[in-house]
Amino acid sequence: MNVNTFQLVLLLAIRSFWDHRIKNLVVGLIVFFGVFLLVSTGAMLDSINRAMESSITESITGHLQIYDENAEDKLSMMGLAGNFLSKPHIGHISDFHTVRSLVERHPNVKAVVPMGTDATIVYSGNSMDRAVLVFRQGYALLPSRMSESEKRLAMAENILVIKRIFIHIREEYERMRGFSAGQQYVNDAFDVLDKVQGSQFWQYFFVDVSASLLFLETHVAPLIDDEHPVFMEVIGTDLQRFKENFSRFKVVKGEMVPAGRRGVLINDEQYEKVIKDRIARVFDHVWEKRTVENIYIKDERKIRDYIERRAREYKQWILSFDSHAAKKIEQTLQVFLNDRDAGLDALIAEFLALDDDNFLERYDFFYQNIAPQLKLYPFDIGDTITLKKFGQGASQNVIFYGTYQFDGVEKSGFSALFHLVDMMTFRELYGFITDEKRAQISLLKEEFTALEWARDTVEEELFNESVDFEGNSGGQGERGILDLNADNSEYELDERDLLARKEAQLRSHFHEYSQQEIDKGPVISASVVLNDVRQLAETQKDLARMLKDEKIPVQITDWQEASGYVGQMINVMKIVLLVFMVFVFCVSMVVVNNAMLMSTMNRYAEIGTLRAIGAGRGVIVAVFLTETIILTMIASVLGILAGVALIEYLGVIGIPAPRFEFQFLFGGRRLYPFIEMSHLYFGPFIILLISIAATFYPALLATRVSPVVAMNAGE
Amino acid sequence: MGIYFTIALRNLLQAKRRTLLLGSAIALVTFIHIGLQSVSNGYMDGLVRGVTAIASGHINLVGLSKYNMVHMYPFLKDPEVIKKTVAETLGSDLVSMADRNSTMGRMIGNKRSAYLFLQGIDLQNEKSLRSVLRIVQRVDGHGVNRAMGSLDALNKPNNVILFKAQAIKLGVSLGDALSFNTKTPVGRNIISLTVGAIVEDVGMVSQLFCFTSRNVVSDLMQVDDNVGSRVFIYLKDRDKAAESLDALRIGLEKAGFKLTEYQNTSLFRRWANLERQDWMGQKIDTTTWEGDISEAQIVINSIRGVSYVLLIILSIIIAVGIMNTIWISARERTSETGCIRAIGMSSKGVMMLFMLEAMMLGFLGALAGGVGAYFVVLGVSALEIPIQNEAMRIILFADKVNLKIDILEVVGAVAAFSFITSLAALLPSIKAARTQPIQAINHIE
Repeated sequence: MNVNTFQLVLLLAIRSFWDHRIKNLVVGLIVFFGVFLLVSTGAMLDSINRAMESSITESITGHLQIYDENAEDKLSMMGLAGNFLSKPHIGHISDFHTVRSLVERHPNVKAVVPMGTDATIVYSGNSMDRAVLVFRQGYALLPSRMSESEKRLAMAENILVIKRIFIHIREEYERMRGFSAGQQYVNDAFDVLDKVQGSQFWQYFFVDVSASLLFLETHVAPLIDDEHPVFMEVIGTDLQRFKENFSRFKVVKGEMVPAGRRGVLINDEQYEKVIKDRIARVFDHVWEKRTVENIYIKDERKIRDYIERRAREYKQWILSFDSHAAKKIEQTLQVFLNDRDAGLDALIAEFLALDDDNFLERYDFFYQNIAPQLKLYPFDIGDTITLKKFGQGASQNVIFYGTYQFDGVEKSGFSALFHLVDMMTFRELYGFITDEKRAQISLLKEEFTALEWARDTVEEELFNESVDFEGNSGGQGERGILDLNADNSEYELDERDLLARKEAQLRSHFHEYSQQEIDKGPVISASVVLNDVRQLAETQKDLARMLKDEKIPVQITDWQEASGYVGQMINVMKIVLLVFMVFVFCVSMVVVNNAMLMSTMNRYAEIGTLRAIGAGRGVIVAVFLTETIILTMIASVLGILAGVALIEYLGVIGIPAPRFEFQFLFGGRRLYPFIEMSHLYFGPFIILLISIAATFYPALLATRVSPVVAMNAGE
Repeated sequence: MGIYFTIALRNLLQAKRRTLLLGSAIALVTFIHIGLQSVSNGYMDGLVRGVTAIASGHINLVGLSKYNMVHMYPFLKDPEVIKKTVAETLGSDLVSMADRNSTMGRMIGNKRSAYLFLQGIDLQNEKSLRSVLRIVQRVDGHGVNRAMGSLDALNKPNNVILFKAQAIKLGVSLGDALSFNTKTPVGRNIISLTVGAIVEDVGMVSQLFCFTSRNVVSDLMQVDDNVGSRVFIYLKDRDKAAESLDALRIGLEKAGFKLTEYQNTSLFRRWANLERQDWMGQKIDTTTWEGDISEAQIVINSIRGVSYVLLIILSIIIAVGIMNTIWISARERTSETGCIRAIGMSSKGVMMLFMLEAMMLGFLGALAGGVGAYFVVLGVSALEIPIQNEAMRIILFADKVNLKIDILEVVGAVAAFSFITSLAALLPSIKAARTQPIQAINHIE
């Protein structure tokens, strides 16, 4: 084809392009829409992918995870129900230090952070434990020169609380008798209750207060089953290194655990939404709905049901007040609700009947007058809490320094799973024996014998009986009973014991562990954070080879596999999105094809004319193709521009996550989609191919028609 | 009329390539649609079958007992008395009843531990359960087929029946020892168990339940022998469960039993709220099997949603394709149409001719796809292909590919796609019918 022909073809194409402008507008719009759809969905998909990746890698898994080669299960840091439902067998890395120093030699490795997850429970004591604790604190403040009857008077309120608990326990066991009348433990419980509710117990109570309290703790408290332990899934890690390398990590309340110290950081979302007082959470929830989401009580049935359901728990809530607080709350509520004769039960029930009109006022009142009287959280920042390994295993006392969140994804379920605990505490909790632990065990053994010894004597002391409840007759004599006449000798033992324990605890709490101590020792897995994520696959291969050469028995896996269930979910989601894309493609293909086909076939007459005045078949096809290309190009460019404009616009303002669960997909509160060159040419290119194919075939068919015939053809 | 068929068929045969292309597209679409339908059917079927045998009856009564305001236990006092009331109330609608006692706790095996519902059962009464439990057969070293225990093992003290996946997970085999640790009203209790039988998995629910004899659970929970947990009620027609339950609730209340408020969602989901309510003593919670599987409803709905969206997209593609084809076909045969018109066929007849062509194409394509899909579904479900991906297993609530399709659904799909194709052919056919004989004869191909 020479230049002249080319010019002619171009001219003809442009002319017929203009002649058929209405038809072309329709076809052009279809192409435009197809390109626009492909460009924008492509960009959105990639953005979501990248966002999910950052949600996971910047908060928990890092980019690569190294773990035991001999593990029988795959490392799954975000199991479906965590470590509570089933404990996978993932082995451990026996020396983290070796792995770290080796892996950090790779230029693309930014850091290696030790990791491990485990399930723990925090008990805060049942009602009897708490009552005894309050009693003990109050009693310690009394001047020692007080007479017994004066002390009795001073502690009258506390005694009443304890006696009230006895009544509750008795009622509880009466109910239990309906189901377990034949069970020995029920009868035993009544024996104990008979004793403490009898006159003798209180008569001799102040003779040896600490022994009496010990009896309540060891024999009465275990009868009660009225506490809600807090289930906590923890990640044990090098907290400092975690903070430096996981960019989403942020301390919310309190402070970071000081470098090298033992401590726990609690997930803020769980602290506020799971651990906090249940009624306080009602006020928080309604407040959040109202101020953040602009949803009022009247708007949503779910909120109304929720308020109603929680309000029905008020009796249980009142039981958690101590007597002083109960009185104070009653008085302020009487004034607030303007009902001077009502009792606490009625007042609370009325106070919790929330609606949109009274909510703000009651919210303020709750936080100004009621909340200060309550313990809003079972443990506050600065408290020492006892993490007990779920199932069987050790307990660890550790200071609760503050709460944290993973920025941006703090409200999506997965990132609220874990609490963070230092590596030293985690190792002991998990059951790795460290040198320090060995020393502690021997110390504990001594302590334990002392404690048992004390417990066994309590009953004899109080009731002067030779048979205790477990049915061990005698026996204690040989071990030596404390001299009953020697005043407070046991109390002193208790105190000594307590002091020794406190000191040991303080030592471990305030001991500053060196980096070497933290690194030397076993870990469950090691999290590798990379400098350049794009080289993930190569780095993974390099590291695997390096570790293999050094004969370290570990395997290495990427974040998607290591995240377990969540990672697999991403795969499923990707497939769904891909299928969606394929369908979008199919539809646009069919529609474009159809439009082109029709527009070509309707021009048989024109083709005949052209052929008659001497245009060759090649020229005819070229004219049609050029026209199609011009049309597709213009529509595509407009489509791309529209797609880019949309994505750029969304990239600036962000797409808000419609629900909290979407934060994970969106990598934060808003998804900021981005567009890359690769999104721009693929879709339009495919559309162009389709258009050409769709024109080529009918155009070719048309050229086969002889000029005379074609010219005669009419619509 | 016969002549129309002949002409339409001849036309289709003449444009072989086009017919084949479009016909197979229609067949493919029908195939995809029926395939998706069979996935959601299979999912639903497996779920209901597994759940109603393992975790629930058609109607499920659970005793909830609270000694204090804090904790709740699944204790049901004197289930025999309740069963009597049930039998009196339901009369001839009732088929059978089974009562179980149960607790949740940690099963500790050789390798791992798992959280399981331990159910104390009396196999005599468990007809549905017996029908789904199949003992695992394993070929031993000598090539002899060996059964992994027998269901009678429950007659022996402290024996437990595990599902295969559980046995593998816990790392135990027939005769091995296990321990089960659970919370009781007075602390924790632990009991030793022996694996008495290993049975084949029954969908996802079988990962959560295992069975032992009733006295094991009573001992573990330290309750008297006359205390159970739940009564499963099997009806003649499981779809009438809701109505029977209404009657039953009235009957139970009349007999003096306290009931929890009725909410047809699984008890598992409501447990925490019920536990926090301030009543004490015993209440009976009632659900139907539909309520018990309501958790899975979201998956069913989303599978259905996706298949409807697909159906619409596919229909559009087909409709556009058919329109296209008839258009071209009408164009190509303009002169032919003119001839027919000239020798006396009415314009209605021409329209009929083109419509018939499209309908035949649509029908034959859909039929081929439908029949093909039907046999593929039968074949695939016979193969029992295991699902490897854990996430997929959880989403689908099944561990094997389970497809199910009813012949009526195939007929429905074929009819629907034939209808869509005819509808799409309407416009071009009308256009073709408008052709004037004289003009058409002049029209040159």
